[in-house]
Amino acid sequence: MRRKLLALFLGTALLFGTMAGCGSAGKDGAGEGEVLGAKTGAVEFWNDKLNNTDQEAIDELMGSISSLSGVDVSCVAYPDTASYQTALQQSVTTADAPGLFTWWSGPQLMTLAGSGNLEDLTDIWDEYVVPNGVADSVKESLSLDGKVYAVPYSIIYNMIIYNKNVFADNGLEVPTTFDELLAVCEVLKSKGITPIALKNDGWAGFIWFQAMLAAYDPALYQGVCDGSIAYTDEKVVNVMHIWQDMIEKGYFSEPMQISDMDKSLANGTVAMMLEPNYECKTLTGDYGMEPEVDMSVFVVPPMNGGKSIIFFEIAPLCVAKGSDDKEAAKEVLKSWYTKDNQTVFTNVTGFLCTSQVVSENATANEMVRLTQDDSKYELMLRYYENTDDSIRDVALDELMKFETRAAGADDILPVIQQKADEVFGN
Amino acid sequence: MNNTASAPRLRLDNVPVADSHIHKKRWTVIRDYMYIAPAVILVAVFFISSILYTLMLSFNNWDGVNKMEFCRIDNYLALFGDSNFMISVGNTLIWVVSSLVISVLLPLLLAIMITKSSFAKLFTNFFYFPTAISATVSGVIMATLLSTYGIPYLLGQLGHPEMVKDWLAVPYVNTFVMILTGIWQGIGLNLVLYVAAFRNVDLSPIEAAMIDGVGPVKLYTKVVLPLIRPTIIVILLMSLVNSFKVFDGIWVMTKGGPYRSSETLALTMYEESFIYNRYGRGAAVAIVLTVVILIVSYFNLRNTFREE
Repeated sequence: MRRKLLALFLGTALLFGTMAGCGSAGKDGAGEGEVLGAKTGAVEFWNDKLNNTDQEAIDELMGSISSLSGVDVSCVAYPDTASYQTALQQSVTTADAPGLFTWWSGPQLMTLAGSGNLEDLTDIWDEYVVPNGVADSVKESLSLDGKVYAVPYSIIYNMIIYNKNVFADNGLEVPTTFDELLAVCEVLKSKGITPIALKNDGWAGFIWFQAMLAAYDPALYQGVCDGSIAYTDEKVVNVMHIWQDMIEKGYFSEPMQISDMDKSLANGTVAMMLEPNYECKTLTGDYGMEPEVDMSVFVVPPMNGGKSIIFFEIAPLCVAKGSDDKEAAKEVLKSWYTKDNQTVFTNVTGFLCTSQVVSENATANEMVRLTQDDSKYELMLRYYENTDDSIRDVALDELMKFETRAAGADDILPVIQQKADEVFGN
Repeated sequence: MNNTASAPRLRLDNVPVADSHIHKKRWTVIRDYMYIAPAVILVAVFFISSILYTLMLSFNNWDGVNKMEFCRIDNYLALFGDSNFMISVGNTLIWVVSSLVISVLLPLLLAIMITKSSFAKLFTNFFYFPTAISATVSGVIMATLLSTYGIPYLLGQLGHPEMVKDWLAVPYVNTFVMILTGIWQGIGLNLVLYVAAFRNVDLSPIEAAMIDGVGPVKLYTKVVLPLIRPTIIVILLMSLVNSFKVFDGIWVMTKGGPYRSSETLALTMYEESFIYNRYGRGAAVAIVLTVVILIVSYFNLRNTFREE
């Protein structure tokens, strides 16, 4: 009996010892890592962007930045966005927070910056980011109260990617006015080709909404985003009716998955799609569209003259203020935008962040070239990051109803405005 | 042993043998508790504490970064005033009813046919095979098949161009497609349970009924099915609870869209917490879902145990 009891005690003690051991090993491990990180200059780079990238390519990228900065950078790529956000939110306030991590611009970045968890990177921006060819025009979207709290991990531009062969076969030219765009759509429709592909994704409802508003009047778009113009404003209603008319005339496809959009553009059953520059790499790599031979790009032309609007999105790269590795992380950022590192970065990710580097894809380069022509084009932050997130969440659902013809413009705009009234206190 | 066992228990202080017995018994009780202690501690630490934390969270507003703000029952009030939540409740009920009707009855009919077939093993394996595939994988398969360039494209080629669309992007059609996918994927387990129940059933009442000339329908409804009632209740309960918490297939196929029209409560809980960063609201959905499942499970289990 006593032996049994003794065995039971020992067994239980072993179990608790193991559990405690696991816990303390983790803690000690972290502590050791913290000391090592501070002494040897090691930093973790957390993200959800490189989860589909080959390990070999990640190693090349980490090797590049490590050798240039003298800091050992290791990549921690989360496969799922939600789990990544949760993990980061739980650690960002602690000393165990990663030195470097990617985040989302707009309200999500402002929430983190406003809570005092991000390091001020204004000095690095002025000394190491802009001089290396990053557009200073994107600074505002990364700033709060005049301080820069992030640098761009990626800058993505959205334009219409079109099938050049379809245009050539039907005698079509790139439209320079909105009326010309409508005429192009009409010709394509009459030939049995779907003019424009719509994306089926929960967040994608705003893509043509922002494009239509800004094509009508860029100030109208900005006003809607900042709450100074109501969604039920006469001009907004007018724009939505123009869009509704285009949908009813069959200028847009049924919403489809991005892989089907790519396939349709490549096989010529769809002529155009409004997508970001990284899609050029997929169209070339997976669907064999040769850049500037089979496909090219143009910006949605304005309805009433003036500049065309190019929408951009930024994935911010941040440094956690409370992290033990923050000094090492800042050291890394000093080398992040050097030409050598950005060349590797662009080859691995397809993103172009600085003017010093060009992509292997000529159509992606054409997109960047257009952004630099400020006589014709103006950059604006896309709707997703440019408006309050609670309004955005309602708007995305309502706009998807509109795109799938489940509701009309007059149905959805009051619903979005109701949320805007709550947020802006009208 | 008998002497010891029959020793007067009320005068323990005067009886050394009884004292030793009590001492032993006390240690036996302690030992028993120590055996279950690790499991109890693990459940308490990782399960009960999570429930309590979720309950606490549901009475607070929290975005995951800034400080929590106590908001009393505002999250619950907001839920019941939210049209998306009500759609989610409606979809969950569609899943539950469909699962109860189809996932319980269809395998039963198939099991009856299979047990009478000469190729019972072959058919059982055939229907069980999809169960070996995870819900995520079957979701990916169906999403590919039903995308624009899958079955809809084939139908378009056969002269039905109006069918060429991503069927999972059509509200409510997608819910029924996902239910059918779930049934296809999960039918095998219920089928195997039914087949096992039929094989283990006591044959004498069935033989007696047959000698009395009972017809096949009456034989099953009045004799066979009552005999396998415990299995039916287990399958019913499993199907019910699984349909309440269905998540992975929907997440892979539609992510609850378009415009949150195919969400169920489990998805709403996830989206509110981890997509919209409204942890308090997500916790409130979790509590509502837990209470509903507990109530349903309680009544089912109580009836089952009462029968037994």
